[in-house]
Amino acid sequence: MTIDLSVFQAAFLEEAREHLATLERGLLALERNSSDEDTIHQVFRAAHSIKGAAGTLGFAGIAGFTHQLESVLDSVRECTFVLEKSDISTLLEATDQLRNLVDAVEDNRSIDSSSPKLAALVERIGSSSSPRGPQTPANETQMIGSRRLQLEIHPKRNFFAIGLDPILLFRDLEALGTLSDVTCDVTSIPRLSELEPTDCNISWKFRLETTAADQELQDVFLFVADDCEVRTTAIELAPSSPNSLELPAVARKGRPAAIESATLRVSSEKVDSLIDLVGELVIAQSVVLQLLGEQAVKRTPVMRDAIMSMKRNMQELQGRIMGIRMVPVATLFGRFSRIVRDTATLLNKSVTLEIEGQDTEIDKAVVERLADPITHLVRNALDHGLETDRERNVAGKLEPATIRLFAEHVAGGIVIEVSDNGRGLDATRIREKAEQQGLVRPGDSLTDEQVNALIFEPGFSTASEVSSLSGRGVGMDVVRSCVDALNGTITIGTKRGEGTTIRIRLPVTLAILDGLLLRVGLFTYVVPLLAVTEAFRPEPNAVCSVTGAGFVALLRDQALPLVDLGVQLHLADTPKNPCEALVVMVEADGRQVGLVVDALLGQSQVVVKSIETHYRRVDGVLGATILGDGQVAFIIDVAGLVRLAWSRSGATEAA
Amino acid sequence: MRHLGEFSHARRAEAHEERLETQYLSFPLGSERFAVEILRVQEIRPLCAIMPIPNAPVHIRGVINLRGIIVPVIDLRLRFGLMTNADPRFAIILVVNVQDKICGIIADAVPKVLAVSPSELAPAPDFGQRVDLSFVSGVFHRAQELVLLLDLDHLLSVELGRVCNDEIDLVAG
Repeated sequence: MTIDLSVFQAAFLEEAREHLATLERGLLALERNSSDEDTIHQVFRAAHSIKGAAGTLGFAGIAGFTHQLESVLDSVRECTFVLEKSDISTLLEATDQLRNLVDAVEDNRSIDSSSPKLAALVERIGSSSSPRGPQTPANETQMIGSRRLQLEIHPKRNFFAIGLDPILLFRDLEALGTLSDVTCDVTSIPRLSELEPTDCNISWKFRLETTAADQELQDVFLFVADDCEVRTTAIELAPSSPNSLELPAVARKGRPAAIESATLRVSSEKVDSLIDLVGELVIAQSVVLQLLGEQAVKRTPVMRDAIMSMKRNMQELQGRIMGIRMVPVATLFGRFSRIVRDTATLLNKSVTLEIEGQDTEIDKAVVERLADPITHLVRNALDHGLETDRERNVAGKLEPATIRLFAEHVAGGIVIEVSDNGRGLDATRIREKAEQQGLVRPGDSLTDEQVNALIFEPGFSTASEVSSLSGRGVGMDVVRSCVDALNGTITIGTKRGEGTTIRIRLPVTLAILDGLLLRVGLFTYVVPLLAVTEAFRPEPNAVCSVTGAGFVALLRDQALPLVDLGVQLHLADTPKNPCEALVVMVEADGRQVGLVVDALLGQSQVVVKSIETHYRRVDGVLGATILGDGQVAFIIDVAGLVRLAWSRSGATEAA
Repeated sequence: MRHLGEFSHARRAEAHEERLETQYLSFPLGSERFAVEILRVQEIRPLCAIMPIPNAPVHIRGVINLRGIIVPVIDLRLRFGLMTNADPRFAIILVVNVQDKICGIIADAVPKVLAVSPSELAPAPDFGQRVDLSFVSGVFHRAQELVLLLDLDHLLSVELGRVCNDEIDLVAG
């Protein structure tokens, strides 16, 4: 039987990337403390795992390359080589190249897998302590004399099920020496009627005559250590060998069993379909309740109790399933130690990175889409936000230049902050630039906040020079549109000479949303609650028409521009009188806008469904949801809709 | 014997034709009759409330809830400019599945199943530039009526896939 290895490719890629992240994190930790044994082992294991998996799947380029990396790490592990700072840089570069190699596998490209720097490092360490993988014949390693060992292998029941194969162990062992007296213990195989064909019920005993060191033997079992018990006894000892050989499996026997099933790899589609299903269930539940009628339910205590418990369980179920998608922001923040290190070195600034609240959990889909905008913000802070070391000295700033990443849960969402203690935004300069670029007219009166928000306008840049990092004026607007697309908001806090904080507020998940249900014309729409500040009915004398183009409502001495939803959604041709309707005050792009609607219907948690699956993206609309009565309601993208409204009224002005 | 032989020959040709026959669902729209391949049709539903999509062309009537999936509904009557109103008592929605995109098409009445052999099919008549018949892949006659065969792939890729073109324009711009 031939197995199509390509089905494992996706799993390999994902795992390899995780190991690469471990590798990188470990190397960065070693840069600070090069003697931390745990980290060294962790880094070595990561490299070894990538090599092993790549070898199995036939990615020779990756396997060969990782082998070099591994040999360096191995000598570090054996304390025969001490890493210098420059070596760590070489290893980090090698990690990058490895990542490229892995990416190339995904895109089906082939790229050069040689690294002269890494090869030179391997050369320098010399061949005396090269690692022993299948590629390295056993006789190349240090000779410690021949010895005979009695080995027992007891694979766990799920050995086959998780894709392991004992024959590979035997092959590896054979490469180390001579196997003899191999006996197979089949006594624990149950009767045919009870036999589960995927279970492994066999164990082996054999003798091995070998010159290999303990470490080499341990390496053979490295992959199966958790899933197989290995007992080794020495029969005839070589003088230098220890009395008994402690193999990882034995050493780990004391570990609690729960860890073995600590994580489960499940494709995100499966989880998504569960979320969908629960969403349906919640809708079905509210349909049933509506059919029963509120009064009938209230009159029958038994019914009421049953419904209450159903509701509670349903909510719990929904919460738990949503929880599956949640990952700590650490997965996002983790990569920044590298980015900050590299960028700071490039800019010749000494920068410390502070990370806080990295256990805050957030939807994996959100995290993935945040990577680029946050990277951009961090780069910007490093490049523009922070002064050079000399400038800081001159300004008398004693504390080290710091980038701070911060995450925390707030009501209905999470907040992520990227802050620096650098020079802060210069409102005058931003204004100047914006006027040059025609973003504002010289006479316009703007508050500092509004001026600062200009940096999110497309095409805006204050950097006088374009560097390789930033200053091209693409970026902050992209950051804002990314955050918009995630249904979040972005604000800036800055103080001249003290630093800048960019604050992103996001919903915890994209799958469900706390919404305000409102009626416009005959239809129901949903506005994300996160965007809503308040709702009110304006007094007749508090609404003014502005040059016939639109209305503003006066609220606490502030003029609130009004957007008529009926007109925006093409349900009506003329705006209705705001005094006869309701105004929902929302925040969009950092400014307050009032949406004129017919009525508020209540607040509800809705399941967000994509309209793009079978239609296309609709401007001003985030998605759709299905209401309790089975009707479809659109979820309004407040920022998008307001932008659309402004651009439209701009167009009519021009015409 | 010769007679019998001829008969069986004719039968064989008939059977051959039958094997090549394709089944279509044919439905009326105003005074015209359209047909779609039966295998493209996933289900037929009564006309239900349709939620209008903001800023969509008129003939995209809106979206419906198809067991939890949000599905757009096209009114070909408006697309082809047939200026009569359907009787909502009889109108139905044909749910078609084209390249994994699901879409509803409003028809005036429950469709009929027609088996059509390739020899009956004729190319769409040519009206030059005057009439856009790019959505009609062929025509055939049935019961003194001309049935227009809809090219669903083309129709839906233009009506629902416009986003692709828009995006390309945006990128280019």
